[in-house]
Amino acid sequence: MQKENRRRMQKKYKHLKEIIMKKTTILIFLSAILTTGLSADTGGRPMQGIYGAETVGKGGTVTATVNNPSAIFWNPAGLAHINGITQTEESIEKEAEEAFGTESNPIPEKFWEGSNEDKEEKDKSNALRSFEMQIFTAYSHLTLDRQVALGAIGFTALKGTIGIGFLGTQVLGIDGYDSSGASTGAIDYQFGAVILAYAWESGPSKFGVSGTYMSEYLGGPSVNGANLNAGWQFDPIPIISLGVNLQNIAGMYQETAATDSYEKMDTIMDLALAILPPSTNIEILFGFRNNLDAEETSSFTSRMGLVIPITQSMFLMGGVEGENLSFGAGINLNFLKFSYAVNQDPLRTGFQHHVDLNFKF
Amino acid sequence: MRKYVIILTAILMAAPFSLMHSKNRGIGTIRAYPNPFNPSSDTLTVDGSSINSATAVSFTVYDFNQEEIYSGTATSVPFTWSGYTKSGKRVSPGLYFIRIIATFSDNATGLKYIKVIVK
Repeated sequence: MQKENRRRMQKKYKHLKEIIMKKTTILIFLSAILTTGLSADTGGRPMQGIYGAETVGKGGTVTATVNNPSAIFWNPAGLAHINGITQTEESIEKEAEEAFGTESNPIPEKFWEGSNEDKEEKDKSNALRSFEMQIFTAYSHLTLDRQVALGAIGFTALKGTIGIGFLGTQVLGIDGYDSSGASTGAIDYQFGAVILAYAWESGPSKFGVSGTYMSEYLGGPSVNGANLNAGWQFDPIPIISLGVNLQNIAGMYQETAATDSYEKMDTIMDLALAILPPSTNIEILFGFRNNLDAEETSSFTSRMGLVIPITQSMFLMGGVEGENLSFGAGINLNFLKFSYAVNQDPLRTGFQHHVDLNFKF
Repeated sequence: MRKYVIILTAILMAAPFSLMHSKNRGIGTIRAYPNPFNPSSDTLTVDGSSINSATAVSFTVYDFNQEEIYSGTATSVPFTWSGYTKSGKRVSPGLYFIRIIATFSDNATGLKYIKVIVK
């Protein structure tokens, strides 16, 4: 009876997941078609930068390996690593018992004579999943008085992972003047984004989609926009991971604060390859970012990153994004991960400091 | 042994930064007005007594992520920026940085960044 109920629930969730996936795909395609006719974007917004210690410390090459709630910003597919699977000695034993039966109570041959779908469902039910939640928070102190804060939460739900996050940035104390040049006092610039994402796993692949609502305060007036993003992580063999993230597959942003017309946001592609030598915890990372809609200059940026463990729980990071070097270090206590990184900005005006913290529950 | 490896790594990490660091020679107060400004109806005017005596002024506009949007030179101060890119497209609303490099008659140079909001 209990097994029957479990089976029914699994079918219900599977059906629900299929509906979500179909609707999301339709939404992405429709939005992409609708926004194609809009004029192109020209300015880089805070959402297009890289922040947080681990991301910066690895030169931005986290697209293939990101596995905590920060994935909401760098590749939503990475959220699917938060899957609630716990492999304890007991759980492995239970899994084996369910798959092969015990000596006194072997599984009858007839059991395996079901359809392929039944077998697939049985395989999935063998994985011991429980509720898992992670909370991520990061702060970046950038040059030219820019401050960026990130926060995200990821938890298992709907046979996948749901992520909710925010990104906030501000620059305070900008000199304001009227059209005659008379001072109007200090003005502030603020940007805020709220992101909702869903990710799921299918064999060696992980998929994720996210949507963002953005609002920008321009020292008085404000503008807003929204976008849709999609990501993919793929592990063809145990030592290789690939990741692709498409930011703004569909996205539109208010053209000016004075009008209600919108412009298309540039589509940006991040691609990364990770080489993970077995039993070493070393990560060798390569990647690039390209603005697929850039009209004026080449916007291709190459990236490289390296992670070297120095003890069982401490690691060093190094990266290069374009011509910018970054370095960092971190402590990973499994339930808690803390990282710090430093880099120099592209204009060489100074050093930028980044910290992040991730809790696992 | 491990302790020395960590110290050596830290020194090696710090070295490139110290080599890359360049000194910024301030050039006093500069006004950019109106701020915020709307490129559809305004032109941004930049002036400041500290650069009035400069023999040449070059300026470059960067977006929030420090990517170059526009660059130009001015033979006199005040100078203006229309809020358009090199290809003549109006820039999107947001925060922009203008880097001003002034060269003076004694060949001394000054560098200043100002923040401008496009609305």
